[in-house]
Order: sequence, then structure tokens, then C-alpha cells
Amino acid sequence: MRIAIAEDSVILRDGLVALLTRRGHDVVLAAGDADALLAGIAATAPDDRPEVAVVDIRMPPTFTDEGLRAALRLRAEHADVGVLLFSQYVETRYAAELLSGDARGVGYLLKDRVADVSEFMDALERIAAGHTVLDPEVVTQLMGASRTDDGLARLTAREREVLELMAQGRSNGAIAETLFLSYGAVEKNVTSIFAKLDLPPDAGDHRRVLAVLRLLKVPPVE
Amino acid sequence: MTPVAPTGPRYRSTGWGPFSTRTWREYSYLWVALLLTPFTLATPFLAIGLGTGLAVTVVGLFAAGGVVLLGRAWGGLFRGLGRGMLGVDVPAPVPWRRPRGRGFWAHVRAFVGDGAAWRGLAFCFLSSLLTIVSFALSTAFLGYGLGAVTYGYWYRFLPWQTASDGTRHHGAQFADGWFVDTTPRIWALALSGVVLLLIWSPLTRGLVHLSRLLMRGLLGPTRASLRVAALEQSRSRTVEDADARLRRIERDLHDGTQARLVAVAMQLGEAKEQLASVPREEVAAPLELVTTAHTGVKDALVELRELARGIHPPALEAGLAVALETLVARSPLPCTVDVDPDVEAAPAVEAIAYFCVAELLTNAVKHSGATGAYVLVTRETDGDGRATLRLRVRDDGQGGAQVVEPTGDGSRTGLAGLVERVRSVDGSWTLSSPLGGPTVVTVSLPLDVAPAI
Repeated sequence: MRIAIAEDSVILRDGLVALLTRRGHDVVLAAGDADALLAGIAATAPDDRPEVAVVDIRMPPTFTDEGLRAALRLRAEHADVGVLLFSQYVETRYAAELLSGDARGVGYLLKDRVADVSEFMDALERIAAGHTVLDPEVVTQLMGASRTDDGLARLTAREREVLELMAQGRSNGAIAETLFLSYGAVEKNVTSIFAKLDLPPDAGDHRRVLAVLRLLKVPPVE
Repeated sequence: MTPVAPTGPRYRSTGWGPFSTRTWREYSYLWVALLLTPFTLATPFLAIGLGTGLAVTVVGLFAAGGVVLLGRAWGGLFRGLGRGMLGVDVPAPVPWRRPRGRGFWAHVRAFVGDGAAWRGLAFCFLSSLLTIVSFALSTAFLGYGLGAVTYGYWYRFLPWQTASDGTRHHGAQFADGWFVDTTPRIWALALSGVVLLLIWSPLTRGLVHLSRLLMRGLLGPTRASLRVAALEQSRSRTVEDADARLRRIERDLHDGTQARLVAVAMQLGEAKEQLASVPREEVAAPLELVTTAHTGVKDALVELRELARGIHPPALEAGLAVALETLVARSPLPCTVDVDPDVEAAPAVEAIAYFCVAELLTNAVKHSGATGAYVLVTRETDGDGRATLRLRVRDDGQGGAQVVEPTGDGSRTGLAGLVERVRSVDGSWTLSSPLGGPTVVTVSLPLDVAPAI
């Protein structure tokens, strides 16, 4: 997989490059700030563009939300490049902004998650494949921010659990494993969730994303 | 009363005695001051008269208050005259303070209770009297002196007068029959004129110096007000410094320790996975060690994050709204937060507002049994046009909240700590928490830390 990295901490950037290279990925770009990332990707031929960009949120010059701005521009200009926001903190506003566009192929993870290397690699691949990957803390916070929602009140406790795991980008198989359910039981729960949230079958796989967005109370872009 | 108290004027003077530019400049000051006297003398009487006469009518107090503030305007004018004509640089007193509270009496107090304005009025009164006396004396000496010196020329144009012995004379008659019309007498008169002129110069300077002293005494800031201003300034610097230091600590943690720990966690994670992929019995012990270390580092990262957030929430750099949204989303209490986008406060003020909300939400969760809270941050303009950040936290709990005064050992409990934070920037706050709820806390903070000068 071709990966771009924007991270201002040298120690972390070098560590990530080494890790990804060892895992057989091709780090095509390792930038220290948002401008270098955008310029680097713009300069690459479409065929050689990274499939995923790992972007630190807090970067020079102002150390606030440069990474988020860059991610949103990247989504707007090169929709084929998946974006993983990578941060020490989860800010509710940033997560909502990231997800308010097309939520396919984006992710928001705490930097700690890189400690579980295989899961991190898995997350990168899911993003490259167009899934949405959210940190459990992002999910908790967005749900905390949308506790007044009544549309989800009809879900059972189990269905809610399943939906929360879906929000973290897990596949049905992974959800079954986590909740000690059979694959069929998870599928049944998922179908029931779609029904209760009034998501029509013709929405296809997109229904998963729509359901997650509903959970997070982010309006989907039509 | 002023910190700098040079005794003499600070301008260059050329010439000597009655011919020196300094004497003439100071004499012309007396002219200017005399022309202003009708007004300066009227102001204090107007203020007192209006104040007592119209005190029964509510509007009268305001009118009187306005006239009292004229004392400040006169003070400013005379400080300018002093600087330009008398070479004395009197610093302005501490600016007029807008009333702290709202409402009628706060304004009346601020108008009528303004010390600098009253001292300005006192100056107007004393300076008017002094000016009249000084001007009369100085002008008399100057006039007689010049007249006497030039007498030898102009006495011949005086009308003829007949003395008692029948002789006719030109000129001034000092005693019966004693006319100044002989050469020795004319010379003597001229000489007395010279003496008068020689006296006129130091006399004028001396009289004007009294005005100068009066300016220094009544138009400058008082020692106490200077001290208050200095204290306010140093306090706001301290608040800003503390905020900047916390910000820097958080940044250092983020760029240094946290990044390094993440890198270590990443390496341990990889080591763990590599060890796990070889046959288990060979590496059981090292695998366990690495697993423990891995878990420890991850826990440390979580703790460090919470610690850093408590020191200075990084989202504050992106604005109060962003930081508060995360704060309420993380609160176990369902909350709505509403931040007016017009609110733009100094970083230290935003930090105080943030920690106030954090404290109030924690209290609501811990003590009130609330099921929901509402946070509203708006930009308000208080009674006198001072922009403030107003923050209101309301919960639907059981009420009965109160401020517990800090205990002797320096530990502070919830609301008391909040009150101290708010006071550190001269903010104000109100608590309404009847038994049965709801609890509403309103905090008003100036947008800027520095005192409004």
C-alpha cells in the first residue's frame, strides 16, 4: 500500500516510516507539515498517489487544526486518497467536521492506537478500502454530543453495541468475535438496525456508513 | 504627590531678569489662566450647587455627576498648559473607572465619587483665586515699572495742572505741589521703575511657581491610585504569565514526552507481535515482560493525556467553542453548549471560562443529581459599553449549591476555587440555587486581562 505521512514530531514520523516499511508498505511521502503534504500529493502522478494519508492534526505553524484543514482539502481535491487523522486528543468538533463530508475512506484515531500494530495496519487498510474508522473515544464523544437524539431510542442494547462497533469500522466477522456472537446473529442485528433506522435496502453497503452517521448525528452529504 | 518632582521648569530660558523668555512665558500663562477664570471658578460652584439643588430629582444627580467629571477635563487642560507654558510635566491621574455594577446608584457613585474629578474642581477653585491675585500683583509691578521707566518721555503729554502756589506743571503729582517734572526727579522715577521691573521678574516666577505646585498637588495621580494601578498591572501580567506557562508545559508534553511515549509504545507493540509469532515456549518470559511494558506504556499515555488536558486543554488554541464542545461531550451529563461566535477573549480569559465550565459541570454531576445541563457563552455589553464574556451554566438538579470558603490548609473546594479564578481578572459572578433547583451560575469576565486604561 502507498502511504503518505504528515507528522511534525521527527521521532514519531521516523518511527512510523520504519514500522510501515517493515510491514511491506511503501511510504511515498513523509512531510513535517500540512503544506508539504498537500504540495507533495499534488505533485504526484495520479497513478502513484498514496492510497492513505496519515495526518497529524496539530502541526506547525499554529499547532491547532492544520492537519484537519489539510485532510478536508485532501478529501475535496483527491477523493481517492483515504485520510487517517492522527492525534493525541480527540476533539468533538474536529471529528464532526471530518465526518460531515463523505465519510467513506476517512478515519480518526488517537496516536496511542499505533501501539497495537496489527490493529493499526488493519485500520489503514480499511480506510484505503473506503471504510470509516473511528477511535472508540471519538465514538463515545460524538455520542455524548448527541445524547438528545431520539431516532436511536428504538434500538435494543445489543443492537446499539453492534452499531457502536460498526462505527469503529469493524466488519461483521470482527463484531461477532468481539461480542461472542455467531456471524448470523450479528447479521440479524445489523438488518434490524437498518430497519429501525429506516435505511432502505437499495442503499447497499452504503447503509453501514449511513447507520453510523445516524449514530453520530452527522448529516450525510447527498 | 507625583513620583517625579523636579523643582524647576524644564524648558530653556534665554535672557536675564525682566528680559528672560521664561519670565514672559510665565507671565503670559497668568493671562491665559485669568481669561479662563470665569469658567474655572464657576465649575465647582455649579457642581456643588447642582448637586445639592437637584439631588431631590433623580436626573439632577446625573447632571451634577457630569459637572463633577468636568473637574477632570479642566485638570487635563491645565496639565497641558503646565506642560506647554510652565515646563512642568504632571502625569495624568488614574483614568475614570466605569462603574463595576449595573444600575443607577453605581453610576451616581462613579460620577460623584470620583476623587480625581473632585481634586480637579478643588484646583479650579484655588487656582482661580491664586490667578487673580498673581495676575493683579504681577501686572501692577510690570505696569508701574514700565510706566516709570518711560515716564521721561510721556509725562509731557499729561494735561497742565496748577499747583497751590499757582505754578503750572506737566506730570504726576505725588504730594501737594510736588510734581515729577524736573530732570533729577524723572531720573529717580525711572530708577524706581527699573527696581520694580527687577522685582517683577522673580515675583512673577514665584507666583507662577505656586500654580505649578498646585498642579502637582491636585492634578496628578495620588500615591494610592498609582499603587492600585501598578498592582492591577502586575496582577494581569501574572495571570497572563501563568496562562502562558501552562500552555508551554502542555505543548512541551505534547511535542516531547507524549510523542516519545507513543514511539516507545509502537516499538513495544511490534516487539510483542514479533515475539508472539515465534514458538511460545521459547519466549514465554520475555513475551510476558514485553506485554506488561506495552500495557504500562499505553496506560501512561492515557494518564498523560488527562494530565495535559487538565493543565491546558489544547483545543483552546482553536477557540473556546471547540474546547467546550469536547468538554461537554466527555461529561457524563447530557449537555448542550451554545457559544456566541462573536466572543473573542484574551487566551487567559478563555482558559478561565473553560475551567469554570469544567468545574461547574463536575459539581453538577457530583452534587446536584441533575439529568441535564445547558452552557451558554455570549458576548455582552455591560452598563457602560464594556464588552464582557458572559457564561451561564444551568442544570436541572436539586439546587442548594453554596460557596464553601477555602480552608486554612490552602485546599479549595469547587465553587470557591471558581470564585478566585473569576476574581483574578476582576470578573463577577452570581449563583442562584434554590432548594429544588435549578442551579444557575452566571460568570462575567472582561474580554481582556489588562485593566481598561
